[in-house]
Amino acid sequence: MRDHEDILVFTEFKDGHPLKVGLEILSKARGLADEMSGGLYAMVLTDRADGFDMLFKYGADRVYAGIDESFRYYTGAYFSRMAVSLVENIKPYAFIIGATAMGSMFAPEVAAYLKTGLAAHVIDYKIDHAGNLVQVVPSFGSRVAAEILTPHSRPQMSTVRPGTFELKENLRNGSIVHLDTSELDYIAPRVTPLGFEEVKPEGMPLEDAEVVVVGGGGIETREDWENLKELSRLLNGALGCTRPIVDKGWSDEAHMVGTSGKTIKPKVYIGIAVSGSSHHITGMKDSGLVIAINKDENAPIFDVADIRIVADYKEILPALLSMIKG
Amino acid sequence: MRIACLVKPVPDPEYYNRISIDPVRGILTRAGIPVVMNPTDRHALEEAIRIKEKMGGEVVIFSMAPDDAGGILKDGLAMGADEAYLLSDRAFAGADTLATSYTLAKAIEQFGPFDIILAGNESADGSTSQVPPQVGVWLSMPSLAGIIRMEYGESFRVWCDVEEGRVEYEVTPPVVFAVKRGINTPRYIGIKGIMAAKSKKVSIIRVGDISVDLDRIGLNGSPTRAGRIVVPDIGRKGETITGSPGEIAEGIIEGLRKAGVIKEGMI
Ligand SMILES: Cc1cc2nc3c(=O)[nH]c(=O)nc-3n(C[C@H](O)[C@H](O)[C@H](O)COP(=O)(O)OP(=O)(O)OC[C@H]3O[C@@H](n4cnc5c(N)ncnc54)[C@H](O)[C@@H]3O)c2cc1C
Ligand SMILES: Cc1cc2nc3c(=O)[nH]c(=O)nc-3n(C[C@H](O)[C@H](O)[C@H](O)COP(=O)(O)OP(=O)(O)OC[C@H]3O[C@@H](n4cnc5c(N)ncnc54)[C@H](O)[C@@H]3O)c2cc1C
Repeated sequence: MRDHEDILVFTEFKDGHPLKVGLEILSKARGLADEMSGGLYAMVLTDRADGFDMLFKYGADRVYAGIDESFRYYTGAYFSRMAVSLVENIKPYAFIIGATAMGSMFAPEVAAYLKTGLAAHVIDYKIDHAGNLVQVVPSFGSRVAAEILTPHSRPQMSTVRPGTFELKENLRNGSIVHLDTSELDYIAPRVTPLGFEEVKPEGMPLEDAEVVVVGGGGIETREDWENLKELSRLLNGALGCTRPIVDKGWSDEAHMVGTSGKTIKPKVYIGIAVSGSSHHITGMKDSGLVIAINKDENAPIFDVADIRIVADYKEILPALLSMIKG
Repeated sequence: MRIACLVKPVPDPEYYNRISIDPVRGILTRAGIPVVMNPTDRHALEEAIRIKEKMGGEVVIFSMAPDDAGGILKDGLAMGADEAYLLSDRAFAGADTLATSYTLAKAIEQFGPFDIILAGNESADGSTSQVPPQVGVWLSMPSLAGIIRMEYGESFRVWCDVEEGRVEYEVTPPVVFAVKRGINTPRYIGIKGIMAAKSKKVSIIRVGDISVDLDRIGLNGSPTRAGRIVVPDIGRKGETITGSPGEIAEGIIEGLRKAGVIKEGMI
């Protein structure tokens, strides 16, 4: 182990703002950097010279910023080249990247160029006696948690899904180092971004809601689905779903909770006709109060529920709606 | 177009609640859980076959798995793939995504060249989504993941799902594509396909059949090491509420009130 070990976090930007997941990772990594007496550095590739203050606010000691028109959208060849150069230059102990759509393409590519290990979707970090980073990852949905170590190569790379760590302010008086982008002129990518088509998710974002009502595969009719929407509205909450609802076309992946969807921690989760597969539970298990309604008393959702209701939702929902409406 | 399609056999995801840890040996037990084709890979295969149908060529399956995965590859041949390679050797075992992607890439190189490598966006068991982009690096091909729509002709247009929208890309092969399940509806395997698959071959590839650097495969070639594996206890000691629908509704509202999400005057 060296006498100090630095941590590099890739913080993705969109329209001059950092995505929240990057700030969540900085918040968590600040503690690790302190434990290693090292620096916490943020890497940014953006098309605008804005928004870096936020990185200092959440604990970054230094920002390495590449500013270029070509960073508006992700192009693997450009992004990996920049990251590989920076890593080879500053030799961080760990390199952490948000598991967004973009990060999920970028992180594995960089790890393969550097021939180092990459732990996927870390939910917790520790430092062991040998000075290695212990990276706890889920697998088989959330059924299994495994400690992944990268003992012999550096940096120890990992990804973190949005919503995994809490935001924690820790204002630093940091500096900005500009990255040289001139070497990109020599790259001719065979992948060219043409544009972005916005798809605005309907309703309140799940991750911001105090109450999330989740409708599952047992919801029988579109009318019932609309009633769930009404319930979530009356509770000032959001309506989420499991995969069968996405398959039916009643909702979309931006509202799906689980491995391929969102990780949420609302004060109250209400699962209605949700079986509780491990790929769903992984996204909701850290919720506050968990209420589950399922007609099958053996449904696995009941294992992670605080209030269990073994009943047909078609009987409970009207009663609940009329009581709330008064 | 020569298209390679990556197919991973996985334990059936609808049974993951049954996975446990053998308390004596400390390893995962998946007894009784059937092995199926990774669900997303069925969509990758469907897209591969559609490209072939439109542009001509062939679809070749590559899979790194134990010998008994042959049956799953036969399903892929029955769907319409032309050939399958099963990379199966003790030397490949214990691979993380870097070693897995290296081994797959070396086999693809050996039996290539290919214009398109199609893969699923994530496996049901590991779900790292790391293998496809890493295969791209080993083959010096660009890669895109999260693909929800594709148009093909002279060049390829693909749409990748990102937060709050889609990014459209134009791509010149050779390239690696990882697709999401929403991209298509896989075809059913019919009798004709099953008959046709009888004359198609699943070739088993051992470590000696491909030229690999032994320091890059299996556990040796894996920079990551799995430490402790646990089945976390996320269970809660819940209470069951019973009664008439009205009583149950009252119980729910009581819970919401205690959790502090019902403000004065809301109800
Ligand atoms: C508990 C546990 C945790 C793990 N955590 C990590 C980790 O953090 N980092 C790490 O590097 N490894 C990890 N591994 C190892 C990793 O799961 C394996 O390397 C696995 O073979 C490939 O990764 P994946 O299943 O995540 O594939 P993904 O990258 O999710 O698969 C995407 C697509 O790639 C193709 N593909 C993947 N594997 C194969 C294959 N064997 N044959 C053919 N096509 C394939 C398929 O098209 C698939 O849809 C872990 C394993 C376990 C058991
Ligand atoms: C790689 C991968 C990623 C995945 N990612 C996700 C993800 O992010 N999110 C996700 O949700 N899934 C995901 N899945 C799918 C997951 O494995 C399950 O298939 C899915 O969660 C099942 O949803 P469900 O429980 O709502 O539906 P079902 O399994 O259909 O269960 C319906 C439940 O409703 C109950 N029910 C039926 N009628 C009534 C009634 N009238 N009253 C009360 N109860 C009733 C039934 O008893 C049953 O328990 C993923 C799968 C894979 C392989």
